[in-house]
Amino acid sequence: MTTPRSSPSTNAPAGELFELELLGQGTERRYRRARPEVEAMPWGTLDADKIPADARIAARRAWTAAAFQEHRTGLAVSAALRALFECRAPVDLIAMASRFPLDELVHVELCARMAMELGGGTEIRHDPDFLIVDPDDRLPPLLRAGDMIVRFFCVGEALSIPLLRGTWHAARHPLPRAILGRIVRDEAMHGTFGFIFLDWALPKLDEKDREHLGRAADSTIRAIQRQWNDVRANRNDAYDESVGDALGWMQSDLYLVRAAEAMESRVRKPLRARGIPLSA
Amino acid sequence: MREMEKTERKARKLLVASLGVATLSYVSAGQGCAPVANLVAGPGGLSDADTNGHPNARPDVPIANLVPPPFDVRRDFPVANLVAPPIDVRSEVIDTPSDVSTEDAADAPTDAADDNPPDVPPNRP
Repeated sequence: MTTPRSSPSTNAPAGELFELELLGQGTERRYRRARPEVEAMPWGTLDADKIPADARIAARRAWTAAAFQEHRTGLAVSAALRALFECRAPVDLIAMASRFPLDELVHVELCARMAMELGGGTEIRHDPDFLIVDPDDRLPPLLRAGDMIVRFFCVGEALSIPLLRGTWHAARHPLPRAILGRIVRDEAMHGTFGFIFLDWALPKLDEKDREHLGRAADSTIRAIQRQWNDVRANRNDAYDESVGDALGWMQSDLYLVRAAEAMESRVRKPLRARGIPLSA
Repeated sequence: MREMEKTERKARKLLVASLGVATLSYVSAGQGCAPVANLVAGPGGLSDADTNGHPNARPDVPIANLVPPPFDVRRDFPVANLVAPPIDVRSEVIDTPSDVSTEDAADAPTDAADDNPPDVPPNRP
C-alpha cells in the first residue's frame, strides 16, 4: 500500500499542505491579461472584522476547501484533455476542452483569495498522488476518455450547474456574489461538454463499453450520495445572519433538495437517454 | 567558461494556510492521519471498483461547494459592477523573457459572456 508523503518529522501529519503561489512579474501579467476578471473582482470590500470569530473560521475553511476542490477539478479536466488528444477527438471538441484547465485555475485563485480576504487559508492536508481516480490504463483511448468524461463532466460538472447557480443566488455580499457568478458562467459550458462528447463517441462504442460507462457513472453517483448523507446527518438548519456575508453558500436543506433534483434531471436522465445503463 | 546567469525566480504566496485552524485531511484514513473536522465524507468503506484499485484515491468527482455551510437564500441583492482593469502593455514587455512571445494573450477567452446562464449578468461592460 502506498504511503502518503509527509515531512521528515515523525510527528508531522500525513499528506502535504495545500498552499498556493504566484510567480509574478511578466508571467502573472500574461495570466491577468488572459483572465482580467480576477483582478476586477471587488477585492477589499469585505469587512472581516465584523464577522464573529467562529463564523469567520467556518468561512475560511469553506473557501479554502472550495479552492482545493477547484484545484482537483483542474487536474480532472486536464486528465480528460489528455485523453481527448489520445483518442484523436475532433479538433474543435479538444479546443473546447482546452479552455477548461484555465477556467478551473481562475476558480482556484478566486476561492483562495476569498479565503485570504477572510483572514487566511485553513489547514488542508492532501495526497497529491491521489487527487483523482484515473481510468484503467488497459482501456482503449476512446473508452479511457469516456470513463473520465462521464465521471468528471456528465456527473460532476453537470450536477454542479444548478447547485452553483443556487449558491450564486444565495450570495448577498458583492465579493462572494461576483466570485460565484464567474464560476457559474464558466461551469455552464463545462456541464454541457460531457454530453457533446458522448454524442460524438457513443456510436463508436459497443454495448460492453456503454456498460463500462454506466459503472463509471454509478460509482461517482454513489460517492456523491455518501457525501450528501454526511451533509444530511450534520446539517444545520438554523439561520445565522452573522455567517451570511462571509460564506455566501446555500442553506443545507435547500442544497440537498436542489442536489437530488439535479442528479435526476441533469445527470441520470440525459445519461439514460443516451443508452448508458445506470443502477445508482 | 561563461559564468551561468542568475535565473532564480521566487514566487509569492497566494494562499497561506494557518496550521491547526479548522484542519481538513483528504489523506485516506489508516495512513496515520485521522480526519479532523472533515466537512466532506471520506473514502471509507469503498471497494476497488470505486477507486479503480488505488488505495488512497477519492472516488468522488471534484465539485466545488458540494458541502454547503448553513446559509439563508436571497435573490434580490444587486450584482457588483465589475470593470476589467487597464493593461499596461509597456511594462509587460520590459520583464518578459526574450524567449517568450508577447502575443500569447491574443486568445483570451473574451467569449465568456456568450455562454452565460440566462440569469447571470456579464461582469464587464
